[in-house]
Amino acid sequence: MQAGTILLDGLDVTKDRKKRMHTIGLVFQDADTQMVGQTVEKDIRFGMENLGLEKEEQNQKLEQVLGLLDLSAQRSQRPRTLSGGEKRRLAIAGVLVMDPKLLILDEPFANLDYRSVKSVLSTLLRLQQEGHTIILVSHEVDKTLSHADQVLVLESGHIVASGTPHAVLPILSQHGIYLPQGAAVEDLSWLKR
Amino acid sequence: MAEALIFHYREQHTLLCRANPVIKFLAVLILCLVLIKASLAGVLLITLVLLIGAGMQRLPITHYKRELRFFALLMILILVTEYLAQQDILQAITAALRFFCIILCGMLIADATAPDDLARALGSLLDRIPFVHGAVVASTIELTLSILPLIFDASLEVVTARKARLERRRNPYTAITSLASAIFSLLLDKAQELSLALEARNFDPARKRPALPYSISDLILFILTLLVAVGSLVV
Repeated sequence: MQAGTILLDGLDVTKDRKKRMHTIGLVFQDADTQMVGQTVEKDIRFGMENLGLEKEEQNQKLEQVLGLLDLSAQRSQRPRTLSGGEKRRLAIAGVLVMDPKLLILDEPFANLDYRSVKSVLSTLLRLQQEGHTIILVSHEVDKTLSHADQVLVLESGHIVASGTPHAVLPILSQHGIYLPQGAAVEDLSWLKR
Repeated sequence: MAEALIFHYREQHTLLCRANPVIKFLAVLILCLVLIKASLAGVLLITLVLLIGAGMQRLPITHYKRELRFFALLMILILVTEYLAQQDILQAITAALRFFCIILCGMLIADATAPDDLARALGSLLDRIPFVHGAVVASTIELTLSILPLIFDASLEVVTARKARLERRRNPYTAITSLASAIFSLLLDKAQELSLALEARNFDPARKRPALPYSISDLILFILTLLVAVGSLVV
């Protein structure tokens, strides 16, 4: 998709880059490319400093997010030396402290091992329960579909189906999406394995 | 894949890490200027002090073996050309040691200073100069310093990928141009990714950042540097 309008709470943020970046938190497919800080702590602080938050508020948010995403033990480590799952959690932490209204994750389970997928998925569910709005872009529906409220199926840049997980499940395989044979929506989560 | 670590910052509780980047920058500047004038004995003194500093900083030299080969080659080149030009082995050794000290200074400052801290410190200093937009200059320095480790990472990635595909030794000219273009292309991709990451995190190069405070570590480092500088000029 290369055209359109981005409306957030009824407000057009398509052309207002600053506003858009402030309200939407982006987590890239390749977590490595998102890291700009020399340590985990510096990387998390980066966005908050750009927003001009006071040091005290920064410290408070930092401790909160380190605990929430289970990264306290890695706070002085170089981001590039983290495991795949930790890197992904750091990428989420980095945007989460900026208090975005919407969190968009591009293929958050790409290149992750089983344990890291479960760890990232648990983190996302925790964020969802805390009231964050999450848009997750993924073709691996077997890992997450049971946790989704709303599903959009895209093919060649067009929306070909939308609805609840139960409504779109029967048509997913027609669009080249892998589904375990005979799986019900409730089974489509790696947390239930 | 093994990662190149040279010229990367490592967070530690050492005197160098605690010191203000401005003082570290000043110390490197003083030592480099003194190196120009110092005799062999003076250069040896600076080398010794820097090696002690590297020990205190726990610089992981063994991890840098691969990257240091390039600098070792340059040092040998300096040694040989200086000897051929001057026909004096002591002068050649002095020149090579000067180069070694400059590289070691660079490694120490990179290992002990995060680019954003250096930018923050220099930015607040440069802001006092009329007509100079300190924050922008500092951000430019920060981004340049951030690109430096990327060059090593990109080189290592390209070389490892080529080795994995059993690249054969070819004409040196073809090999170098092909390697350089591959590294440059990868570096451009990495730079673009960095730019997207900065944009996604609301990075504004013109934004003023709070200055870093000075501490007793800065006084100790500054006095030590002055003592070494005077000492190396006297011996």
